[in-house]
Amino acid sequence: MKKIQFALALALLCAISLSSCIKKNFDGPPDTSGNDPHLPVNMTISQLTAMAFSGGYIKIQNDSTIMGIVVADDRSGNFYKQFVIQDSTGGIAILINSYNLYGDYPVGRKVYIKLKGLYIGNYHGLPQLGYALDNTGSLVNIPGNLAGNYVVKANFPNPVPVRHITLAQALAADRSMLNTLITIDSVMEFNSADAGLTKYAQPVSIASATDVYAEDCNSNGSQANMIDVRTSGYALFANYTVPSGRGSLTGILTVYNSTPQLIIRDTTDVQFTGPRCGNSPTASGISIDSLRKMYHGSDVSLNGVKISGTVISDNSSLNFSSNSKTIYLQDGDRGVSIFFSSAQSFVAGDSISVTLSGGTLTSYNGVLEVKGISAAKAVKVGDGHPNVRQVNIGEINAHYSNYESTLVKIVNATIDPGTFGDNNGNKNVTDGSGNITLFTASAATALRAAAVPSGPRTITAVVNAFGTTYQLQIRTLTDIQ
Amino acid sequence: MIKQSSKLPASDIQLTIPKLKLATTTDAEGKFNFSAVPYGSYQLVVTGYNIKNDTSNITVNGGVTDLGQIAVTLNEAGIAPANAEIPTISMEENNTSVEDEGVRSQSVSGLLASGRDPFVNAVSFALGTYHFHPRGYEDNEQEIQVNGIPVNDIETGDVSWNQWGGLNDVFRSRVNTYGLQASEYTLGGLMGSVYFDATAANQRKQTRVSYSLANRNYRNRLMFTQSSGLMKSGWAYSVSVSKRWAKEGYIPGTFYDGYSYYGAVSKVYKKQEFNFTAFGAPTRRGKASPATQETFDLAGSHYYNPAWGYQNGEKRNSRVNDYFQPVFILSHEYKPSEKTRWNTSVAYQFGKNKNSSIDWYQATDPRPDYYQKLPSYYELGNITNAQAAAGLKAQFQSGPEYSQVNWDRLYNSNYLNVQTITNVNGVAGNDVTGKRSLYILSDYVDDVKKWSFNTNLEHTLNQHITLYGGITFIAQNTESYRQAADLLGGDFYLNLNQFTSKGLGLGTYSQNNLDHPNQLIKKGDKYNYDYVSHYTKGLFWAQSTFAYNKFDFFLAGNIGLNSFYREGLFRNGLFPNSSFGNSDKLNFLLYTAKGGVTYKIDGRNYLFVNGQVNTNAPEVDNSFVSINIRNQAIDNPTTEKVQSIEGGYLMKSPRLNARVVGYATATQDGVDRKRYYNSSSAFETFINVIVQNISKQYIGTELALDYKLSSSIGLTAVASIGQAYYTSNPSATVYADNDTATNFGDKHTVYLKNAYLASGPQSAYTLGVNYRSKNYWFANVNFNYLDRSYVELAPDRFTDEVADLIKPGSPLWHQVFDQEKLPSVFTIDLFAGYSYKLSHLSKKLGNSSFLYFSVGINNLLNNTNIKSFGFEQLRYDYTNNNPNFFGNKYMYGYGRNYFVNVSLKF
Repeated sequence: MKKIQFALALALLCAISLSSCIKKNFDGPPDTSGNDPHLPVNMTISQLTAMAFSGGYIKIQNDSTIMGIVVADDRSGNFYKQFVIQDSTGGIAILINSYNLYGDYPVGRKVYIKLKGLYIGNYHGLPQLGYALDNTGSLVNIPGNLAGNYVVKANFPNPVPVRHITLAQALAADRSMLNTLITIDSVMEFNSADAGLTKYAQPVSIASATDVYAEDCNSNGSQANMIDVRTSGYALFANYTVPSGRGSLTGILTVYNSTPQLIIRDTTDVQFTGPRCGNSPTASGISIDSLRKMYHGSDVSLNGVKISGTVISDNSSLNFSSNSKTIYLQDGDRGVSIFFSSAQSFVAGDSISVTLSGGTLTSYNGVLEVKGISAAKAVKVGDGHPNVRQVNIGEINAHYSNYESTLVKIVNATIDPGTFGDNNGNKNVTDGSGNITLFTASAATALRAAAVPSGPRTITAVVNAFGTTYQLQIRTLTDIQ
Repeated sequence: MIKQSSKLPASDIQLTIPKLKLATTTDAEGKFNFSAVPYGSYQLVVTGYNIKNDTSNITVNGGVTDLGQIAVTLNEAGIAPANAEIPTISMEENNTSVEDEGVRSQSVSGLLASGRDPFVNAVSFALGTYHFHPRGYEDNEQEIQVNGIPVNDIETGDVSWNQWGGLNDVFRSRVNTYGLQASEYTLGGLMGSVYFDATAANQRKQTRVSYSLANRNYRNRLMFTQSSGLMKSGWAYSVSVSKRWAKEGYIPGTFYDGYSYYGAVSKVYKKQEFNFTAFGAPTRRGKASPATQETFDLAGSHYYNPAWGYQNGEKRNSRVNDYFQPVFILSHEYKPSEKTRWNTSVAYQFGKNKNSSIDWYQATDPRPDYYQKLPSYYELGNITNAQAAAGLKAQFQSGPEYSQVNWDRLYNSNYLNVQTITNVNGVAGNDVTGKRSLYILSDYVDDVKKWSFNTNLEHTLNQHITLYGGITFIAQNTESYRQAADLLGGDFYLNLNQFTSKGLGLGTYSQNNLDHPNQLIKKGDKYNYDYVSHYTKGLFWAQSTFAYNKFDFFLAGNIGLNSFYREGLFRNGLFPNSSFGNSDKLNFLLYTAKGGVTYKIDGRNYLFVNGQVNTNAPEVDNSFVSINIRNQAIDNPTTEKVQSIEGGYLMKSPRLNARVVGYATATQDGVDRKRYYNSSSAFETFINVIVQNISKQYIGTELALDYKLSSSIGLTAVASIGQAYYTSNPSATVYADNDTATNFGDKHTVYLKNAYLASGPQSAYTLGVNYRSKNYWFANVNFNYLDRSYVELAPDRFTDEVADLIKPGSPLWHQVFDQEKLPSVFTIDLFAGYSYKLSHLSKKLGNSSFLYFSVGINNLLNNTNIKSFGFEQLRYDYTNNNPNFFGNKYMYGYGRNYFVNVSLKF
């Protein structure tokens, strides 16, 4: 009896394990993106769009087929329930009542459109292809599930056809340009009211779409010379700020009545990375040390150079410049003097940034100087604390070029007694390691008349020279403690 | 009464004293009781399913006569409908998609009784297949225990019969209580209790092989069971394995692939019994999705299933359930005397329940029955266009490319979409280029770990009073998350929330997991949400039953604490400070008080009344405003209060069993949460509608007559007529998933008062004719009529906001607000069986070898118009107030379906 039981058990277990197995994993279907059904094309897009201006919407009766490459899809949300195709003759927007069409018809896909039964017409001057007319006479998009009856997918990817045109051509918005992908090269920027400030589109609650104007260097601020870059509030990039540079602008050219508009696909269509019209290439900042190293014995023309540092000279005593045109600027352990072409009002401690375009790096009386810069080129950006190095006079004399136009502090220094104006303002200073001249300018009359403090003192001063004679210049009497 | 072979209690045996026309039935312990017996000598007849009829003589001459132990021997030849293959078991699996439809499990009640209560029998067999819920209660009102362990889901109270699917052979022994009757094992729910004894010691000694053929969820079933029965050595073992499968079930696109395992061992040692039982049923099956009447009409079939589509020429179902949650139970029984029984059980259950569906990110909706792909979109919506509607209709009917899921298009869209993702994993400059899947197949996973402990003591104080008491403790952790199951041809998917509102933009707000921003999801990765719900439950119960001559009564009660909290494992970008880590703990002190009296008019006629008051904890899912992504609990989570009473008249006599019962139950302070995608411009995201202060009432009557025309022919008539409906206008609060506000939202009223619950047919009638032949075959015919089944309402529709511009009483008003009643159903079921003693073929096969054959045909007349349930879609057309725009969805019941079973028993 037991044998029968076991035999049965075994038979059953075999049966169970071998019996119908249910499929668990599925292999993916073949990738059809390389397929091109090669439908016979008997109409060009320009022939199709020619029918769009015959008055109202026309139903296409013949078995006509066009072919094009998708040049704009709805991936970014800026195009809504449509995609745009283009062939060598022109472009047309296909209206389909579905979201996220890019999953089936991405930019670069070749498609054929079987036109029979569809309607062609224009919406305020822009040709559109749709499915039917509703009871108000407006065009109804092709229902999503019916798109396959009209739009035949072909291979992907294909090179995306783009035409390079000028702003003038874009503004002319010739019919052959409508619904095509165009690029206006290298001359476009957003107008100064918007550049770097506005977002591509306002929130949908305020407006469904927003216009931002792009100009070129000849637009002269006139909107008639600008193109409307129109962005939907539903675009994924709506909240991004428009760039402030200048460069090339790409998009689909459309029109609304007589207003040309450019609809970008996404923010990569706006390549505004260069300097704006009228600006030389953006000045790049260098250190004063690097600036000093640019001098090799003869004058150097400065262009596109910007320096920044802390002002260490103080002209309240008029010791540095009788007309307040000269300042000394220190950046780290190096400094330079700047001779502006007009008076400036910086005080010691101002942290400033100076664009040296148009200036000259020269040696004036043995001191490296930048001249020919208008005061407007210097901008105060804050308050700074220059690095005051404590050194002895011997060190200054030995390595003068390391200290020129910078602030130093010398302790236990003794100045020859008398007034600062003695000997034409040249007073000897010694600290045991060496001697150096303390110079007071003739314009600093109050300082010259002052008596030299006696005994060893701590002196804070700017290092410079007159010819080969090294010297120190103080800003005010408080520099001697 | 005990079983001769095993000395274990013989339950459900009918004893009759023909002279006095008295009858009674043994209980789970094999005990029975005759009351009001005059002094004298009588014949006592013993009958029952599967036992040899027996007659003995008894004498009654004292106040209480103890008849001692009576042994019954099993009649192998007897084949009872209760033990044969019942069609209802196969219906319990959840065929509907739970997640986004907001539909709860609609499985059938598990009242598979072996009792003689005609009402209970009818409810289990005949009516169970039609989504009938006794008294209108939900599925969580019946407490089920297996080997002393409560198996109801700790969070919802529902029971998943999947856990022991295919193990019918070893889950045969069960004791039921119905309604508010007292149980010996537990307090029970409003719908009573079921106690399964699936220990090895309780299995009959047998080797059994069964094969079944059907055309329902599955088409084939093979079962093998070997049990030793309790051997002289005190040991017992039992093993059962089965496989259920179908390449395609009744509904197109549904497949079934299920295995079941069961192993148990028992040792009886003196007065103790030790059991170890382990079982599990790993099952994979393709489900059917409910659909609108429009799509059923377009498809030309009531069994249109939008969940599947062709892939490489084979049907692939997008909604697959993959389930495996095995259970291990250690149980111990100690019976120091006949008066005392002490049971203790410990169990551990673990495993995953996964439900798949297609997910997509910024892509066209892949569902073939998406409302914009249907003609009604151009007939009822803003843009009406007859030509477009006609075109879509023709397209849908043109073939499975449009009427079913188009897997080819999903894969090819993924192949095309080469994209560069910047700053992957939050690392600046880490740019990855590859195919970003627009569509994936995604699993909703619940990963459960559950520890249970239960101990029960029963002590018979004296001949009148029995005391019960017990302690239960359960701790369950469930990790819920979404997982990418198949990238459908792509290289990765994005873990981003595409529904963050336009105002918030797509910055960190759209990250589902801030700690791994811009993570590329590969196959098997978790995404969207990930959290653990920690639940602990402890309770103490006590009961005492009193049996006297004229009165029986009982008192019972329990007190317990349910406690749970959410632990977020993803830091969600919308709620960075309230999604990760532990939420506050929610604690609910619960109690039940229950009691009942039975008055024995005489030995045959009984009057009884039972009552109960209790509280229920709210479900975890309904206690948080959006449990997937945030830790915030709802405002004022509170227990639900329940009061219930039932009473009636029972007649038990050898020829006629009758039952007339009335019941009334009221509940207050219930809470529910509905989650769905709201497309109105105010939201454009998933929203959670928390509905609180829900009050319901269930009131009705149950009538049953079971009349034995002759020894072989019986008639059964059963009627269940009730009303289950809302008795309050609950308040609802809306929390949008992309709204970062933490204040409690505004409450608005939901006008649900007097609307019916969607609890299946509230009027059910069945008339049955049963024939039992002495030649070991039987046949049943049942005529069923079910009516008054209502559609589940969408609470957000019954608001002032929607009613605002609609004129009360107008046709539009009725269209929007009337609750649809599903059509009434009439069916005929046939059930027959035969047993053949194999020793007729060959003596070698022994006296206990049998061949059992049974066949059940449900819905003989092939009525394919049975709407088994329906629900209003949560999404609503606020623009035009047209309820048909997002029409009601339904599932149709099977047409003629059968189940044929052949078993060989040795």
